[in-house]
Amino acid sequence: MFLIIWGTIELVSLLVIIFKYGSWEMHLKGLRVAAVLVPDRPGGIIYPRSKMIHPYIGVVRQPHLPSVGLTIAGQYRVTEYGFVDVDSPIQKRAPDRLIVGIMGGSVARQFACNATDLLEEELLKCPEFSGRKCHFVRLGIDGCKQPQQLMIVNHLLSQGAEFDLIVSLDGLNEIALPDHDNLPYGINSAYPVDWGMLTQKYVGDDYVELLGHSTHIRRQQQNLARWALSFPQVYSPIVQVLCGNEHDRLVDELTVCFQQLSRLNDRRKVYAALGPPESFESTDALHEHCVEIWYRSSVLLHRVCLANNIRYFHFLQPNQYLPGSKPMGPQEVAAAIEVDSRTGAAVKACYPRMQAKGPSFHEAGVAFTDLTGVFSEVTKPVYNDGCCHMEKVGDLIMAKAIGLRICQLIAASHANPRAGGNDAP
Amino acid sequence: MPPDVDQVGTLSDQAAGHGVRKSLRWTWPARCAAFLLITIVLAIVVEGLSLGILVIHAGSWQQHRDRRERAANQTTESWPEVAQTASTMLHPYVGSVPAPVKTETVPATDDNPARSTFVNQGLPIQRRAADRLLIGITGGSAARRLSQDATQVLATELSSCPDFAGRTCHFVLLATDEYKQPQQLMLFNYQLSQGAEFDLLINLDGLNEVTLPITGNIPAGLNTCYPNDWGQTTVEVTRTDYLHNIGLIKYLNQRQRISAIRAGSFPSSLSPTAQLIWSYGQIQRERDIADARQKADAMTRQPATYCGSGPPEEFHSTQEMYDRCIDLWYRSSILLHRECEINNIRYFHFLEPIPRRTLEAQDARGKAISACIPLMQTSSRQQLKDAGVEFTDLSDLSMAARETNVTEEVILIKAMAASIQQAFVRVPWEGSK
Repeated sequence: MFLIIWGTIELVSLLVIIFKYGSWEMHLKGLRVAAVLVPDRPGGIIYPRSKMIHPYIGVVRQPHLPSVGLTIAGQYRVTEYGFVDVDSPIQKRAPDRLIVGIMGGSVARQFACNATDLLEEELLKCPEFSGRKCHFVRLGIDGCKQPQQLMIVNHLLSQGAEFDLIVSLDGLNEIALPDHDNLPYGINSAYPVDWGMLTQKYVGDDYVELLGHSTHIRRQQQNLARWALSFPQVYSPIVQVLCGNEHDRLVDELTVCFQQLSRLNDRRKVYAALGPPESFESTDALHEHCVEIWYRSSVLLHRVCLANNIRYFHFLQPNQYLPGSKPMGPQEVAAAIEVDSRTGAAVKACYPRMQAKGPSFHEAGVAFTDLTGVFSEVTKPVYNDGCCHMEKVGDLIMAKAIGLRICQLIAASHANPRAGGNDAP
Repeated sequence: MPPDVDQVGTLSDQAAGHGVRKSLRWTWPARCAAFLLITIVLAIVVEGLSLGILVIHAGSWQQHRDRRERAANQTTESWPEVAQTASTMLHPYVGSVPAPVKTETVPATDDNPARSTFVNQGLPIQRRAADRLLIGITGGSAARRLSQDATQVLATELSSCPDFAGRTCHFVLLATDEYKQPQQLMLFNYQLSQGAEFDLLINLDGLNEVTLPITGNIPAGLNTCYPNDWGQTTVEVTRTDYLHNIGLIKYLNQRQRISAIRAGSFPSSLSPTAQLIWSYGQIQRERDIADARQKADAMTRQPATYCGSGPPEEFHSTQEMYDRCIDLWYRSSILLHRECEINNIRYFHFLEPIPRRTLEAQDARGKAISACIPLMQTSSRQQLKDAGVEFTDLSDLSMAARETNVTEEVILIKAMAASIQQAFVRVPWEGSK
């Protein structure tokens, strides 16, 4: 009698499992997944492994061990300092070498990887540099924006680095990223891009405790699933129904836990991730603020360079969204122009303001050049994405223009020290 | 269907073999009373057994109660590394800053430090004005103490300087405990990039620059120039597995506390069985906590990531380590000086007083001070002077305080003010014209 009742309950339990999970195998599959989950790592990868936080630069690239070899574009690796280069950025001056630092965001990083041969060729045409060999220090970091460049130079100088020339090719990240990556999340506009994401786990004791709760639930799930999958209970539909119900309850509990974590993440009211609070009356006010940080940081960078006998050259990088900056065919338009692009809106709103800073830069002694027109007569495709990045041909055109301009500015500074190119000898 | 009492009575009588048919009829109250009696007896037996096990396990009922109360009163923040996170926070350009004043409790206004980039110590974004003298103070704990306690004395001393006539001193406090170069340099640059202006910058440092790398950074495999607490601060954002273990410890501690409170409340506090169940759960949780703690400890011993350690360094001798620390200190000061000069800010660098007891100590810190300070007082001083830095060595002031019976702070302030005044006599201030 007992066996009949038991058999009936087992049969009913089997039907419940099939009805609930689709099949017996599907149910076991769910348990197997729960049994092998690593409880310490729920939620997957927390931050992009390609970047990491830095105490003085904010965010740099995750270095590759020298043993990994050269991994970027087959020629460069991310050095121990977090820059895409082949050597350490700590270089010393010598009469026979010209140390040229190239800094900015991803465009500068690509430029420094693609076009330094041509830039060297152009620079060595300058009589002052003849007989020297250029050593390029690549300091461009994707997403880098002022005041990061200012901090990079100060940090490296404090480490004993020396430069003869510093070329800054920037402008886009400074005006496009705060509106896109900082302000919507309540992160201070001067903070580096990705900073909030990289530090989002740093959200206080309540967050840590919730994480611990989620880990505890995961472990309970794991233990339960392992037990349910072991012999002989794995063959008992009754045990499986009971375990399935408990598993589902734990999943619900975990979901609530994650929702709470998510709410805490959304609030992110933590100084470490947000920085000092800011508010802007309008997007226009934000843009004005961003242009001001860019301008002020460049002037400060110029002064740091001047004080340390370094020549500083600042170039406003070109962008496809600036009206009239480049003739574009349908193919390039399709590849590089996005409808309703936020980058495009920021460029159209801010670039004229940045270009208008030219006289102020000149007044402050900064060797500033507006490079936005460098492709104005180039009809072949240059841009290859909807942001700002370009084919190698673009880098080569910029290298020629930058090299030429630097030589012009140096020649002019000899004639008139206030004409640009810094007062440094 | 439960057996009828009549049948039970009949069956038992038959089984007893009496052969006499008795009519034993149990009324419902009797049945309930019997059930209650059996339950009470069983409960007493179970409670008695539980008490016995508990006494064997804990030693005595009182000891068990003490243990439960300890668990109920424990705080979840008792783990030092967890508590430490509350005092400092990451900063993208300075490494770490003190935890800010919570804006929920203090309204954010322009004069309120809660809104400042540099928290708790005044709003650093100030603009120059003809009627005031903006003085930035940077450095480690000595500078922080000076900033908090003695700025009024410094203001009084400086007011006698003709260059500052008609100006009121406004101090911008940028010093924090455990700051060391190049943090002062980076903080100053960051403030300038945010639009801050200064007339004077006073940097009082030297001790952290030689002691913290020797006792903290280098033994931990952390780059000399990185902030002292960087490795610990970042492990919580870069090592998610570590963070989960900390969280688990906190969560289990919290559960431990709550369950102990529940076990200690009426009526469970009177039940040895309830106490035994709690005790069993306690053992399980303690095991889980110990396991998580062991894992977390093991993780801290794992090789640091680049993020947590910075570029690797190699030193062939202790002297090489000292030299590196001193180089970083004076190079950063020279950079500060150059930047101040070009931004029309007068920069004053003071080597902070060295407490006598630290000089006499024979530990790594004491040895580092004994080895480095003489070099800083001689060769580095000369390098700073050659670079045009207004550098004053105040490292012997502790001794002076002993001899003169005046507080060290007053002597320090007076010495600093005198040095600043002399500098303005030598080179008049352009900003005063």
